[in-house]
Amino acid sequence: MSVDVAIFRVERRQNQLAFAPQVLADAQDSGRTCTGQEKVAQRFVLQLYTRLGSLPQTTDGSDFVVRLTQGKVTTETDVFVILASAVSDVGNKLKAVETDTDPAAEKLAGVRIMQLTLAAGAADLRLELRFADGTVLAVLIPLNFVLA
Amino acid sequence: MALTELIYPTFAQLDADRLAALKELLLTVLQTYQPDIDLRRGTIHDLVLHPRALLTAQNEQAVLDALNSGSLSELIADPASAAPAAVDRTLGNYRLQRRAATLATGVVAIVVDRLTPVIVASGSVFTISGVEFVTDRVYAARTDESSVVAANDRLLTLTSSNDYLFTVTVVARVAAAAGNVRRGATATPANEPLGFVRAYADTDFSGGADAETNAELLARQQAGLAVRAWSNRPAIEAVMRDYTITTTTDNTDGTTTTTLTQPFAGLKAMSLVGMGDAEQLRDKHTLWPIATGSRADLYVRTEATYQTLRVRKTATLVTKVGAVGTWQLGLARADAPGYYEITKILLTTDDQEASGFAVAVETRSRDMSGSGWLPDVAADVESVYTRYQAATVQFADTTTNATGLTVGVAQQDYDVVLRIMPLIADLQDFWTDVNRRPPAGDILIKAAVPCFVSVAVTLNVRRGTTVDTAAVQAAVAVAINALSFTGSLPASLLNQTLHNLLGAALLSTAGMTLNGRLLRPDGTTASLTSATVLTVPDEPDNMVTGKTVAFLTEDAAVGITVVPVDMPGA
Repeated sequence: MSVDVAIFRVERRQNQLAFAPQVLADAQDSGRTCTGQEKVAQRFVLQLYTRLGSLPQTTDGSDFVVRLTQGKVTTETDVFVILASAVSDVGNKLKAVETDTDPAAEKLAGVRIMQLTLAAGAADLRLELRFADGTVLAVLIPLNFVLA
Repeated sequence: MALTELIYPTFAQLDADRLAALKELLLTVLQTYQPDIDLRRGTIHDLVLHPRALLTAQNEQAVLDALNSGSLSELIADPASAAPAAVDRTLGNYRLQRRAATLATGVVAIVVDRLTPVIVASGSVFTISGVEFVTDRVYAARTDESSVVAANDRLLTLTSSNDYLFTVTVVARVAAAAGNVRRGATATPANEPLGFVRAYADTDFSGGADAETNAELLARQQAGLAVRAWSNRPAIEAVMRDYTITTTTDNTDGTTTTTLTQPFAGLKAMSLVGMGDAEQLRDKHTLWPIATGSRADLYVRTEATYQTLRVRKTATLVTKVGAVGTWQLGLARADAPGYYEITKILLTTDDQEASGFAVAVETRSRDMSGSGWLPDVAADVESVYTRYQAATVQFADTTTNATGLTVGVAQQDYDVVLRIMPLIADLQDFWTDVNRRPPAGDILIKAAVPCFVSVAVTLNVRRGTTVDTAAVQAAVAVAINALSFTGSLPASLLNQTLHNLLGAALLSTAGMTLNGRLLRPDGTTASLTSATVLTVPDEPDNMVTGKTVAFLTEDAAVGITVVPVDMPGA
């Protein structure tokens, strides 16, 4: 089973991951690795939050943050629309790098947006990642931004 | 060289295949070092592997560029891809410096409707053909000649339209070849003087040049390496380009100032017609139809295109019918050396835009007078477009009332407006100099045989696109005038120019028509028309082939029609 360096602080409950702000090096969490479904969920969040075009010479990332910051988001529906498009794009990108040797528990079978809650200057996003072995992982992502 | 002196490409400029190969290499190394790391996507991939591959590829490319730019053969093979700074560094080893862009300068004529003094402040802005110029000093337009005492005083002179005209000298704000605007181009002042009627370029502006490109600098390096003597083509070009005149002037404070000028450094193109060339007629001046050699015709393009010259000459009335007289004047060989054609003849009070009088009869001859060595020019046609060309011109003056004038006695001054290629006499004198002329040779300098080109094209652009027509005209003219002695002008060259200039805004071009008016040395004209390529006719007996003819044009000869097009789905 392969590993990756954990970039987020994560609170894990049963079948649920709550991502906290990014942390690569601090006294508490630095050097932690992740594997399995947490690794895949982390990939997903990284791709979702990476601005498309910000990594030179790749098509990595999504246009979620790009469109969020274009000043055209005024309603919850607006956010939902751009999120749905980005989630679909990221899901396809992760599937594209899967191999036959990957464990079924790390193969993405689908993604659903379960909940999107907007508050003043912030949004709570709840995704559901479904895997090829039939398991389901709920992912909670906080998102801070300013609504126009 | 320190690593900090390397010229690093941007990430976007990196070769994608090379980057992928380096990434694969790093992936293999990391995977070997730690097989458990997932390197497909995620933290290590995004934050370590990919950036590292980018930096490695960037370093590798910078080092490769440095190595290649140190190699003359690599630079010559692909001058456009090398970084200018790297080329400068390499050619600095040959003591060559890239020529900087220079400012164009010229004279603007200002027409006002009243005879009152006018002051034009220093730095006053005039826009001509989209280029901004400023006056180089304060100018004072005076109403009578006695008031013209200082260098910046100008006399208001009456024009044929009963307005008043004075001139000021202006300099381009930005150094570039685009500043070489044509005589007659409209000048728009930022602040109009009192009674302003119009303003225009009174001369062809000159002196403007773009910074030397890599290719031009490398060409100069090659010419510079050649021995400076009359031997082969690069060597001959090197002799002219490197000719330096040193002028020393004594200053009032007792010091001296030395100025170096290279009058022929800006030579655009040359074509040498020598022994064995079909176009060479002068080495067949024998009883037998064989070439004896020892004759060389050097066809030159000293400027990108022709220049306009206004020469004042005295004409004599030779015949008259009613009030209309036919006048005759002579153009001496020094008046407009090697001129191409007379575009019109003006009254001295006419301004540049007056339609003037057309030439009725023009007879070109050769003037081989003078002491010292002269080239072998045995026929008038051989002297055409050389400094030995002279002419007699007749024209009908439909403005001056000739009723009371006496034929053969009455004389009047006229301004003859001509198209010329400059420096023809200077180059002839240069090669005629006894210290430079090859002892076994006979060199005749000729202005390139002109093919005056006009272009018409329709641009289909995305609706909503604003097309700067003047910029398009200028770009097309530059592309044509940049050609050497190529023998053909392909429409594809102009299409490429248009697409490069307008990018994705230009969807297509349509209806491109190339027209050429080729003035043969014998005085006849060949009209060329094509939608695909203008080809110089192969007439060596007329001294007309691809080796002798240059395509010349100006912005105004480029006709642009812009058609906005709706994009399906846009």
